Amino acid sequence: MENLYIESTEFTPKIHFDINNRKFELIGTSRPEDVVAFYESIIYKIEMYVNNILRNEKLEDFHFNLLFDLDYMNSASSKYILQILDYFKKLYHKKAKITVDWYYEDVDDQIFEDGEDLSDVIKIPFNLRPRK
Amino acid sequence: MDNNKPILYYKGFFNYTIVNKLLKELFDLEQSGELDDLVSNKIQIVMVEMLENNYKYTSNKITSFNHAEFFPVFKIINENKFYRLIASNPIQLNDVNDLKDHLDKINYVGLPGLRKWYKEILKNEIYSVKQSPGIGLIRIAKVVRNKFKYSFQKIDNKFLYYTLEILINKK
Repeated sequence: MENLYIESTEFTPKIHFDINNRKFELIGTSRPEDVVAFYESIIYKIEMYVNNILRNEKLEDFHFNLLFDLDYMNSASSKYILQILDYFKKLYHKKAKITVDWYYEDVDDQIFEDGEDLSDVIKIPFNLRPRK
Repeated sequence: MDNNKPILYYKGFFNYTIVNKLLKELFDLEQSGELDDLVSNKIQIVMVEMLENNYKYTSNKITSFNHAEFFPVFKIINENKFYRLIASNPIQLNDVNDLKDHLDKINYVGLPGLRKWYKEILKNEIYSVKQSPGIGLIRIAKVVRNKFKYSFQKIDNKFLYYTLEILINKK
């Protein structure tokens, strides 16, 4: 399976699904005009990847890092971010080490609260990290 | 400043391009020092959710509408202690009761209840094809922590003119 890289635009985030280094990054602003079309192929690739790992890897030794560094996301995007997390949750439940780094600008920032809410919904702990 | 003159104003039906244009105007206001970063960030969230709610769940249901005086309007007014965001648009008569119930519930539940409700909707709708039209309004209420003011004015037998006013505190 090949890596996936999508450059950011003014209203869509940079996506870097780095399979070799076991890292997924979503960075920037998420307010796509067609949120379904934007996230569909990303989520499909993640689904294939996770299913492949579930079939072939010894999960106790498996590490994967998800990094979210958003300066803005709309409520429509949060559903798709949850879908991404939900696929990795399958690995997390099988004892894989899944880390989620969620960056924010300020504790009063909505992005901080979004991180808390999404972590609570998906039941995976997030590392809430102030952006430097 | 408290002169009721909008710092941002648009009249007409909204779409993605118009929302982008208004966002750029908002960034220009921030760059000129009219808004501080944190308030600007809150205004951006509220404005986008208000307008996306407007064009996704209202205007796409209205295929012919000839009352120019009741076209959608969005404005931001800079007042002494807060920014007042006002969005008005025609809605179909049969959508009013659900919307009113939703707005009343938002005003009633308080912040802990809003967060719990918001998370329940996210959890229940992870894989649903359609997004609940109300989730954007709940997110707005979480951000602003002020009660919503709303009204419905009769246009004709099919439409009402819905106005939503939201205050964003400056401190």
